[in-house]
Amino acid sequence: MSKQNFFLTEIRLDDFTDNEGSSLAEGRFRPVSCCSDGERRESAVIFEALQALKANDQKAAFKGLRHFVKLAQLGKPFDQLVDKKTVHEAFEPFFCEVTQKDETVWRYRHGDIRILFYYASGKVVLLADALAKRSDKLSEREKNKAKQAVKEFLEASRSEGGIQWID
Amino acid sequence: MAHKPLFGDLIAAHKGLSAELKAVDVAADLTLLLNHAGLSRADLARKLGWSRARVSQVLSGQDNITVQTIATVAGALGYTFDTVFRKADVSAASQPWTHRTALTLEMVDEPDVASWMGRKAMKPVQQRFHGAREFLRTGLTLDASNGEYMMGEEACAA
Repeated sequence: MSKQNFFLTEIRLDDFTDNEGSSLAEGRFRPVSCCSDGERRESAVIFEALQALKANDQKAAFKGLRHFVKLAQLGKPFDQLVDKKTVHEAFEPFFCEVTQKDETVWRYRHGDIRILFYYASGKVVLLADALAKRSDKLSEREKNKAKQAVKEFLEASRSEGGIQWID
Repeated sequence: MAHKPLFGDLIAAHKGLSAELKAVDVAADLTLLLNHAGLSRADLARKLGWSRARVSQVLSGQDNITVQTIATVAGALGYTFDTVFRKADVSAASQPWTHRTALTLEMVDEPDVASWMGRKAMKPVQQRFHGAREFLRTGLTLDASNGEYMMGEEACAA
């Protein structure tokens, strides 16, 4: 069994500007992103995905992510809070070797921004990717990237090294 | 140690974005208020005589909605609102749904995941709020307006 470290950080309301006083609801869903470097939250997948976007897309992505994190505070599945056009299954559930069952990646739409996420146990929501898209269709590469993110997360959650949280 | 905003520098590089995020917050808060009020988007559309598309647009966080629109939606849900200012490092005022959130009874973890997360907050709700059942016998009412059994702050503190 692998002992490699796997780092996660929670994306919180106070990760945006001017919100130092934002309180975090105890029963919230925790949007999380995996980090390649345990010392740097800036190595989070979601940070790098947003950083790579062009200016206007990046601006829209921050708004979309902020909306997503706000809704997460209620602790209810997103599809109970918004319409189906906004949150729905990103593609057909895929068989995951780690859990030996079908897993679902969800898509959150905010204008041209798509956030792909996965509901994990313990009210954790893994942010698998953030994209700027002019159409709904995801490429095979984008689907595979999201599947891989879920798979790696699930593997880490069952590994000896487990998951380390970065604040 | 103070929490460093992960996106602080990137957001600061976009002129006006910080204020635009406030508009996003308002739309999200209206969505949470709608849920708290136990109404659907279709209900809200009917009450206001709006199309469902308009309700979705207002709540989407993509528009800079007017104060009048906020008042209209809040009023239709049986609420009003005030403008409350605070210093950035002061806690935000609580919302009607805030104290309920902690008691959402949907937290049953898989044992393996619970062990690696190792957080107090991940303990099953029944364990954390085992006293809740006693209130049934003391005559206090459990609020199940949203389809979930929850209690107010006072009950939790007791």
